[in-house]
Amino acid sequence: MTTHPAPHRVLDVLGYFCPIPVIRTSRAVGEMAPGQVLEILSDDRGVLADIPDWCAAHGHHYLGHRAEGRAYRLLVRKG
Amino acid sequence: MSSSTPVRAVGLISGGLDSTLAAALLKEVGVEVFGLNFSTGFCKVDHRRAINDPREDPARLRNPALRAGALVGFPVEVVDVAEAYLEVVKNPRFGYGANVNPCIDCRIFMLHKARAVMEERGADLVFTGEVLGQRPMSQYKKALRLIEAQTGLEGRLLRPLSARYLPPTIPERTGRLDRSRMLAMQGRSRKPQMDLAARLGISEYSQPSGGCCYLADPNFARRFRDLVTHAPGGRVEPEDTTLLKVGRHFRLAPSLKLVAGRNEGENRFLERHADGQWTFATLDGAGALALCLGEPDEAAQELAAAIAARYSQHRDEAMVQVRAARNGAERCLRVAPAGDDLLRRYRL
Repeated sequence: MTTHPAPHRVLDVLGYFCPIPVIRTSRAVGEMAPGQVLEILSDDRGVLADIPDWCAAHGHHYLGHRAEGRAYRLLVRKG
Repeated sequence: MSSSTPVRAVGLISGGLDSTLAAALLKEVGVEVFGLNFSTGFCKVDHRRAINDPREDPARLRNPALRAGALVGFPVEVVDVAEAYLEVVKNPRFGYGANVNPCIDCRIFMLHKARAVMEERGADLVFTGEVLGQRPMSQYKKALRLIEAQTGLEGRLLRPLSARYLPPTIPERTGRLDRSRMLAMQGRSRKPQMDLAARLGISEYSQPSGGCCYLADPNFARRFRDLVTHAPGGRVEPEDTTLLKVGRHFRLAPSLKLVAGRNEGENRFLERHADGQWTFATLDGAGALALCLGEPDEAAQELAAAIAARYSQHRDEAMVQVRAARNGAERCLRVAPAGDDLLRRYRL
């Protein structure tokens, strides 16, 4: 991720594995306004594939991720 | 509703080839597709994720249903049904397949859920990727009809890949869905699906759905039956089934089980689940971590230590030092590694 825009909301799902990160991401994005950015903090490696897929399937924009130790911060802009 | 209003369909999406094709075919004929993917707690990919090996390629951990939605272009909602689904697995009304796979009850369970979503969303029908005659238990004609009747989806359950062998659904009867565009696949050959995938431009899909379900795995089935048999009062919670997916399992006594990790990832996984339980590993940690579920007495601790020693780099030594630990307390045991006879006697 080249730039990391300030998120409107942070979702901490550290320690949770599939399906929880996607379910909670879906819920969180559902509560946000179009254009707002959600940051997801997760240590489930599978989210690096799932969140971009989920965004593509649901019409949201995946902005990328950055690693922090064994965790990842992923950014999603609501479409 | 006018006949020009698009048909809206809710589909069971595993992300395997058949459900992906069913969704893509419906999209091609103008149906608005909404996918449901049920997380049952028995998916092998989900478990690989929980092992959380940092070297694992994320692409191998992906949820195939979400991938299908991304590639074909339809939304997929992932739904956690682990708790309710476990009850189905424990008491299937229509019995098991070869292992503890309650295929007919599984379909009924998922279709009931899909029906609720169909009604909630005001959709016209539910669809699946089932192909007539493809699977021995749940996809022969009688089973398909039984499943339809049990779920109250008569006339509203579409199997697009085999639709022309099955009675028309309401949208087909009323002309809102062109039945001639539905397909007539049957049997176990995958060739027609491969051809359709090529035509629809689908080149990426996961293995058939049965291949990723622990319930169809004979080793898992043996452990599951043992768990149900020995659970106090027969009560089994979703978290009780988590450990069935890792390691080598040994039933040491009716209320005592040992799980020995097979690699570093499994050892780490077992350690994460060790709260309040004894673990056994050689002093240098070179080998299995064995997690004991229950309250082992002195003899059982020695047995657990012997099994841990057997699955270590010290297996050929006469005596091995094993660390037993629980909640920060530790003790050291000196034991002979377990021999084949001992393993055979206790192994599940």
